[in-house]
Amino acid sequence: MIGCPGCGAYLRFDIKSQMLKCDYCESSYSVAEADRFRSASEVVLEEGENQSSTTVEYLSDEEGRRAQNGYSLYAFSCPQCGGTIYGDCQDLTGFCSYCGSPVELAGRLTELEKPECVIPFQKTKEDCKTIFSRFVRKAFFLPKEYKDAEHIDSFRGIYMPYYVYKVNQTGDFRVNGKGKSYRRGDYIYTEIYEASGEMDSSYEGFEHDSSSTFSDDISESLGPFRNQDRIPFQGGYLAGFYADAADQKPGEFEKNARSEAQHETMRQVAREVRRQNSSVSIDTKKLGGGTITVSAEKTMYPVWFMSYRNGDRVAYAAVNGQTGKITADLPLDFRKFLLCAALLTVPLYFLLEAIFTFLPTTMVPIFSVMAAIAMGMFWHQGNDIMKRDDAKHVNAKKRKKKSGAGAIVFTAVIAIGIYAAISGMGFRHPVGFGLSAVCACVSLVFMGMSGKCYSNLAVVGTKMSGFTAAVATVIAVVAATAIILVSPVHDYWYYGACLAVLVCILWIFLVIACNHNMLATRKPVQFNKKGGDDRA
Amino acid sequence: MIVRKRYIGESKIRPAVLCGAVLSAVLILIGIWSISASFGRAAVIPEAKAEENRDFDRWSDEHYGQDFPVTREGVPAAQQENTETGYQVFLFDDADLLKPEEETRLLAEMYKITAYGGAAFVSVSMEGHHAGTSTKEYAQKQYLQCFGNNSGILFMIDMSTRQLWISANGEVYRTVTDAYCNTIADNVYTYATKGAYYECAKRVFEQANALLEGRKISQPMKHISNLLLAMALAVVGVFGYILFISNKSRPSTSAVLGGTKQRHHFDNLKVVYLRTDSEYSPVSKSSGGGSGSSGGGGGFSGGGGGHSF
Ligand SMILES: [Zn+2]
Ligand SMILES: [Zn+2]
Repeated sequence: MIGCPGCGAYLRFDIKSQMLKCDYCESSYSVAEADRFRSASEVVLEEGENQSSTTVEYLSDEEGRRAQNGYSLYAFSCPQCGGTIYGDCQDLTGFCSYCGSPVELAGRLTELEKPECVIPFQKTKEDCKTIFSRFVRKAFFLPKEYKDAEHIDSFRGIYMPYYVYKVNQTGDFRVNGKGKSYRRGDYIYTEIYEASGEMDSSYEGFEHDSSSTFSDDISESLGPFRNQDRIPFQGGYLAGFYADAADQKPGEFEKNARSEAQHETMRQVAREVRRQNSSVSIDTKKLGGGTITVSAEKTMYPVWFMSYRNGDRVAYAAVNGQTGKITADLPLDFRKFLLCAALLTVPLYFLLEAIFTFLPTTMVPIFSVMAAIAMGMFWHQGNDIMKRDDAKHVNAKKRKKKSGAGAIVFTAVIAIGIYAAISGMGFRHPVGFGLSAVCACVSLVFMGMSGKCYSNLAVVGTKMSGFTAAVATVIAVVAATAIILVSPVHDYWYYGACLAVLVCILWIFLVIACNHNMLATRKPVQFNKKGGDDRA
Repeated sequence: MIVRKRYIGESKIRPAVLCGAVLSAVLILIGIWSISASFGRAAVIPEAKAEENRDFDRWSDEHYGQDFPVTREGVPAAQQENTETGYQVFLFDDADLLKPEEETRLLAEMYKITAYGGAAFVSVSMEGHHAGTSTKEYAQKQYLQCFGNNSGILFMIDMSTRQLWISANGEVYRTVTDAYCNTIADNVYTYATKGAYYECAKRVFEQANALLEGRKISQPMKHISNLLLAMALAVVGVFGYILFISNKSRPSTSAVLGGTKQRHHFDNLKVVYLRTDSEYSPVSKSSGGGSGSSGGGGGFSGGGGGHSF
């Protein structure tokens, strides 16, 4: 906390003016100026003097430099989840930013390691609230409480610790490239070239958050920050804001920066080579070598952060305090979804009425296609959760290189074969049946792949429900396909098939929505000393 | 502030919502069906206007009880001709589905069409006449024989494939489009299923005539199909939108690289020719097959629709 030299009140960092401002006497000070007398007031505090009569004296440059290795903030530990947030005022009231439970905490003064750089807040809280409101306006399906003005007010400005990596790649490189390619008779000839030289490439600005309490999925989608705007850190920027502490080593994310840089270097090499000989193209997936050095710089990034507690789950919303980019966990209210779908049905119905007259036999394959799409979404979600929970390695040994896409193509080909065979037999709705049969096969494959996801997840301990919906959908599509094959005379068979498939699609979506809510919200982390990110 | 409401994902109302959705969907369907059916019935079956039929009544009085010439070979003889428009009426009941007085009454119904084009009714017996061709193709062939490519409508009951088919062309086809052919066929197929072939055929020409006179016919098939489709599209669309909105996209590689400060310097860059690789890749010997002979004479230029029964 920094006292105002004029009246002793707290100074806050004012985003609009990028200055420290006193609310009482309305005087403004630059951050550099304030940092000097802030250190002075801390010295006074440590000597046990009365806080209210803080005397402000300017430190000499020498003393100021001594105080630059660390800085002190008040630490607030949430009794509910154990998460710790740091601030420069003594009390924290409102919500815990990690678990969303209401808290009223007294801080304990803690010394923190000083980061090298900071990007000060550019977006004010008002900006942030506007951005959030605009964003949730698009998300009609959110629970009402999520959009409450009172709730939106709980956005808190937090400086999140990041590592900003510098990468240097120097030395010799030697890569092969392909030149002109031409055909002569039964042979294709390709010229092979070798490009070599010395490179000296440097990158600055690969970023990764260094706090385990700050979910990676949020920090990644918040980025990129314009990190060329970062400036040397001074405690004054934190006045009136909060901060999170870094608890992960820079080495943990170094390889990301390294590989990004290496690939970009190769793209640059390829560009240089093309400049010399325009017919030569370099495979940029191969890496050219050279020596790579990586260094990390501790930087504080500004983030507006909000948590939304619902039962035993919590949803986060975050706004990039520099660029205004927003990212949020969006829980879905399925009733709102149904309502909206029902409302959309009306205009769609009249639109279709104006244009189309569908035959019942045409409807069935259309519904089969939609069911296949729904099954694809179902699998995609299962796959996402599997990736998140890192369950894909469970069966890694058993699983040979069999990609899902390949399986789909394979089955589709078989299905088309069956269809061709049957349609040759003078059968009534060959196209509809063929399409429906392909969709049935695709759905079946998606079901199989989702089943694998689910079983892998079960091994890791993530219990997923709703697989029955997938089974039911496949059965419905197969039944619909059979109905086209048999082609009964009466329309209601086809309508019935469509309705059954539609119900299954709804069911699938319901399952996806429930899982989505599990994904979109998280269990508040029980932080132990080192912290464990349930999403990491 | 602790939020009281729960998401559905965590609550017990899942089955209830699902049942509710299904129930309401079924109710809407039934509602639309009944409304459209009753609406259509009122609109479709007007009492024939006596004046318009005076002509025909005279004609049928003279010919009642006669057997109509049913010629299958060559150009068929018209059973009746509208002297003002020159459009003709044909009735070939090969499958013997109609009683003589039903034929007379059907001819009366068909005669109304002649204000706009020709009208033909063809039934095909179980033995059939069109091995290798579909009902649709056969109907089109028959149409060409009756009316060439002039305006008209032909209704075929094919007992060999158990299919109904309506072909239309010219001025009639401009009103009785493919969609309407399909709709009419769908409206009448139940009569054919029940064996009420006269009712079936009568309604085809009745409804075609209603359309030609600018009236409306009931289209339950269209309404139900479109409703089902609208529901499905809405559900899939809205859900896709939700997934799209809530997707936390990572910045692309180019965005990440755009956020970095880069400096590149290359020295002594040499691009040297090494060798030439060859790869065996035989040229496929596919003869560029010429496109099949197009158009075997004047094809049928109209359209139509049908339904099995
Ligand atoms: Zn002041
Ligand atoms: Zn907490």
